[in-house]
Amino acid sequence: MHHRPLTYAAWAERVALLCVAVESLDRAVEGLGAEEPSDAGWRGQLFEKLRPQVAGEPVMVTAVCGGTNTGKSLIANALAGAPLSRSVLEAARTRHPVASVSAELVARDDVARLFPGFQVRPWTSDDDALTDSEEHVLFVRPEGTGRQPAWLALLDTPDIDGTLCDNWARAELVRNTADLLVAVLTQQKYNDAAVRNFFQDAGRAGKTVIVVFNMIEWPQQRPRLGGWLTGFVEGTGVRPDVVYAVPWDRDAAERGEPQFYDVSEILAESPSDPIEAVPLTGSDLVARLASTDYREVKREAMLGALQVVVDPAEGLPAWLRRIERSAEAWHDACGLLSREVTVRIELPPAPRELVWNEVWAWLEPRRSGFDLTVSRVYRVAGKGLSWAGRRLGLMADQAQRQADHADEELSALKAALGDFLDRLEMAVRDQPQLEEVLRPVLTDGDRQRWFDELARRHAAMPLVSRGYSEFVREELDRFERDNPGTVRLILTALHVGAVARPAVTVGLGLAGAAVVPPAAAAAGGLSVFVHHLGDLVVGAAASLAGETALEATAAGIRPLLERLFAGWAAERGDLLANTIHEVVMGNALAVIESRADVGQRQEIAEARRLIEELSSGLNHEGTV
Amino acid sequence: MSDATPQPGASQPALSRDPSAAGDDRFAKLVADLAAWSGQYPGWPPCDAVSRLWQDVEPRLAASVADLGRPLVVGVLGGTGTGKSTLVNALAGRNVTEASDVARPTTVRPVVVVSETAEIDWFPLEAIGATVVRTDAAAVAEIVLVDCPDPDTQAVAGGQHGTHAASEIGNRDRLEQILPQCDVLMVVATAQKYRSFQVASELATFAPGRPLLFVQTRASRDADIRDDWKRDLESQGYVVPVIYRVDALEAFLASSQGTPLDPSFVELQNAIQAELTCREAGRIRRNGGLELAGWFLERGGDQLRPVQHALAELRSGLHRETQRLESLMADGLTQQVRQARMGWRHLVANELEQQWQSGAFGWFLQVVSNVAAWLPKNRRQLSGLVGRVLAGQVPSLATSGASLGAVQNEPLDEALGLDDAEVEQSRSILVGLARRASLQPPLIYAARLPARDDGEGVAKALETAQRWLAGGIKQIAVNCRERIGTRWLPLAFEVLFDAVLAAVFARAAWDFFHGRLWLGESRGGLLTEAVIWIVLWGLLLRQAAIAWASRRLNRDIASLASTLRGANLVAPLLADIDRAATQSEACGDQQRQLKQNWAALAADAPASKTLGHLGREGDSHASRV
Repeated sequence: MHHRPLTYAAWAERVALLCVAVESLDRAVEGLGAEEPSDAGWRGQLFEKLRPQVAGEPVMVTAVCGGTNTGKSLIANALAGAPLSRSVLEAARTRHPVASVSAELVARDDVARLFPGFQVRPWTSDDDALTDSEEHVLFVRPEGTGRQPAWLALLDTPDIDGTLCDNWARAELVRNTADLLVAVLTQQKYNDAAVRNFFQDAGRAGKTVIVVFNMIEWPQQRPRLGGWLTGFVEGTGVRPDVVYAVPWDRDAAERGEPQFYDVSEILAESPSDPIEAVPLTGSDLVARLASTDYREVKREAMLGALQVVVDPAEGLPAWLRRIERSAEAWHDACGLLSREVTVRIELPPAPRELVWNEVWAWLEPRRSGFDLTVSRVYRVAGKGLSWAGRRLGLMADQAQRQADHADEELSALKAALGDFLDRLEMAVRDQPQLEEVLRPVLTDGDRQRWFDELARRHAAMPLVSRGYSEFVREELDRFERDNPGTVRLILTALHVGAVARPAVTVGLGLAGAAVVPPAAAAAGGLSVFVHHLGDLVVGAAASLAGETALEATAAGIRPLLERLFAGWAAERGDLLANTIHEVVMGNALAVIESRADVGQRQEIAEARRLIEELSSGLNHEGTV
Repeated sequence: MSDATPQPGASQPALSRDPSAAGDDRFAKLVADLAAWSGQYPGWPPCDAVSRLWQDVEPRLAASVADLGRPLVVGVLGGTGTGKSTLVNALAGRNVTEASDVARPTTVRPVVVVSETAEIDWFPLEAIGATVVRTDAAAVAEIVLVDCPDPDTQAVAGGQHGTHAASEIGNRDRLEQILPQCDVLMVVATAQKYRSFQVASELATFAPGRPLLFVQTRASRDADIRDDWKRDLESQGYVVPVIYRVDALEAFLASSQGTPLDPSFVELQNAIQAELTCREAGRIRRNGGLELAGWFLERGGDQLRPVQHALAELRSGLHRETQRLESLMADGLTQQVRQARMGWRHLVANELEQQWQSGAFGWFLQVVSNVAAWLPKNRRQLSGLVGRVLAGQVPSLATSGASLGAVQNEPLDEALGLDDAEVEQSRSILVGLARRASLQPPLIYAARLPARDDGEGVAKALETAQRWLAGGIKQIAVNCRERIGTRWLPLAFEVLFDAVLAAVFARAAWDFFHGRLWLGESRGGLLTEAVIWIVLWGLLLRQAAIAWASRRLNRDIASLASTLRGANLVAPLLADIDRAATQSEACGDQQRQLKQNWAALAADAPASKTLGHLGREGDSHASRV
């Protein structure tokens, strides 16, 4: 798609929208694994350059940058015509940037807007910048002599290669903000990796650069400058506009009046013979700066910054791709969890008499004389038999039986919880990125409490819940509707000993991975229950036990009875699933799901659209 | 730990007699112990981290044990443009390596400066691509001086400014091939570069175990920054006794023109000649090795420290869960033992048969037991381990291994009265605790114990329980035998049985001889009746005997249950976790022990007035060696 170049207003609006989309994504990708270095070049250009400078009156930010003890402060003070930051013998002493700006700009009161990331404070003395403090502070010194135009801000910055990492961070913030950089280089440092890296970013962002070679043995080392400059230009990709040499002169340095020699002839393809150099002062340089087409410099810097942002290989588009790839990996992790983290619960079959009681309660209003007789016979006979059984010690009484049943059930649930954790552990081994999210569960979790809670909930659950009674009634009603006339067979079927041991499974049902628990799917197509409880799925299916008795008497009733028993088992599955969901997992699964979804967020599409529109360029009528 | 770890006080006299030899032996022993410690528990992440660290440290420690006689290799480390080559030229007394301001970096290939006569075939010149220059200068008479490439012109991959690695080999790569060969580092800086991050991080990487000589160059141009440099170094953990400040260029010019050298340069030369001689090489190298060993122990300790608390938690968790499972097992087994009434009767009856073999009652008991053996209810197998042991299916302690086959197919709860789910709960809790200490499969099993064919876990638990139970039941049988083994008891029963028998026979004899034979009466049937009553009387007596013998059975069973705690029956179920905990605890114990041994050695090493080093607690950077 080809877009027409935008007007400046439209361009500015899109930059603002892009910032909003990126900030929203920043919050969404936390923990995704698509993180990037906080000092990624495009970020600095977007948030420290484009956003703050896209609106308001343009200011040409000019920063003096370089390594430790290369004389940055000396140069900056000379340019500003006043001591911004005290020049000292020890290295890395300038800790905070100082900006010299015209009184007019200070009066406009938007200096702070220009320097995001800094606490902007008024300058009080040349010791301000040497204060040792944690926060990033930028001191503003109003310039009263009028030699600085209102659109020019001159900055001295901390070093870019010392052992104090705060210093670099501050220098980088200033660099990102700047339109024009004064690179202070020395014989020792022009090819240092730290220096090269610093200016590489400036080169990529199309910033205008002025090179100052400081501490030069003048004129002995003048012939070397061309070679050094070539090394610097090759190492950084910057295209300096002007090159100055400042001789090594202790007296001049102590007076704060370094001399600048314009040696820009070394920039030419085939350098001409050195021109007879005339020393310049700091104010001469500022006068030169004041005569530049600052709007063009600004425009170049803004477009250069955008170029860094939209760079397909290292800019925002690369990050968007990384987000999608990482989200894809999380999506796979969701699939793995849904597939693998599923436990089968070996529940004891529901006590027959309890199911029977529920059915009886439903049947009573419907009973005929025959049914009544039949069931009375069964009841009396059954009571007699169980009395005899108890007397002989062959059969426990009902309370004991139910207590044993509850014990067995709890054992099955505990074993299932243990298995669940084992399986989760195995999933983490297969997908190590899950470790970070599941660590709070697997490592930090209080497993003792989970087992206790499971036991507590199981103890609190009535043997026959109201829910189960309702479920039995509904099932029987439905069966009666579908099979009128066969109802009395239900009784017979129960009495001949139909007991179904249903298969119950509890698994993770995560977004996008529609999972039917294997037990439900495997039971001969008889998928009876699939409950979703938060992030968990409970499936129960039955097709076991009591076969022979049922086949003969009530083949049609078998599925119904299986459902009644499966419903009982599913309730136990729910108990486990609820415990896992509410007590064990915390918000781990929600986190995983939200990460898997990041790839689908509309901010990504939005950012891509804005990138495309912004890349179409800036209308030349547009003014910065 | 070992007898070769003398107390510091005790070792000093020995050292003063023959310091180097005694110290060398102890140092060699320490290095050997460190090697053993570094691989003590493979697979455990903290130990593996120690192992990886050891891979880096080991060659140097081995060298400092073995190469004590060789001259010291002194590497010159510093940022580009700080005048390393100029300093080397000045020390060598002639132009041995190119020094210039034409293009940075100047030195790409390292230059090795040695005396005219030195043998350096042991030095890996080719591996590091070095050229050798010989000189007769006094300063390098007894050392191998290496002019190294700089560390700061090559970009760091993903490093300082998050930029990209240069694909070709850079100067820092070359430097990092050379520095491992160096025994001593001469750290060179200028006013512009003494606070350079990249040089500082390179120094931090290679400083452990290497004595350091600090030199500020370009003295005639730059201000004296030694105080600030020293502060900066000390803040990074270095011990800095002295920083030399020289102008190497002037010294070089003076020595080539034959004019007197600047006193500060002479001072540096003298320091090198006094400290770094061949005679001192062994001691300096060993001290370096000792520093390195200390650094390794410290970093190794850093790996173990975060899991110490978790290990303590795991240990107490093991104790707690073992107790819980033992009490569950005690309940379950006791219940099973009590429920196996038939088995106990069988056991007691057996004892009676065995003991009372003489006499009519004994004979009667034999008959009853032979008949009873044919009864179906007695042929029914008793379930559970208790049942089988009682039924004599687990014959003796010695051969219990053979009977394991039958046991293995049995669920734990049926065999031992311990619910599988309870075991899984305990294990799951412990697996969670173990995870906090980085102990994960395959060092331990999952919460659900794997199949029972590995001679561990459930199978082992069953075997242990079987041994314990068989022993206990045998003891009960012995008690029972003692109760019935008194002389009067069988006699009493024999008398009671024989009396009836005798009465019947007497009466039968009277009937026969007096009635039938004498009086000619023909009464019959007494014998049939008599046999019935004798059998009934015998059975009654047998009941009574069994009751007598079982009198204190309940007490015996209770005392058997009380020995369960000490029998460690649960231990095999948690053995993997216990073993992992023990081994990881041993790693920490060994580290503390080695640190003591190290401290005893380090206390004997004198501090140098010239050479600096990395302090004990120093180095904020991730050092390599």
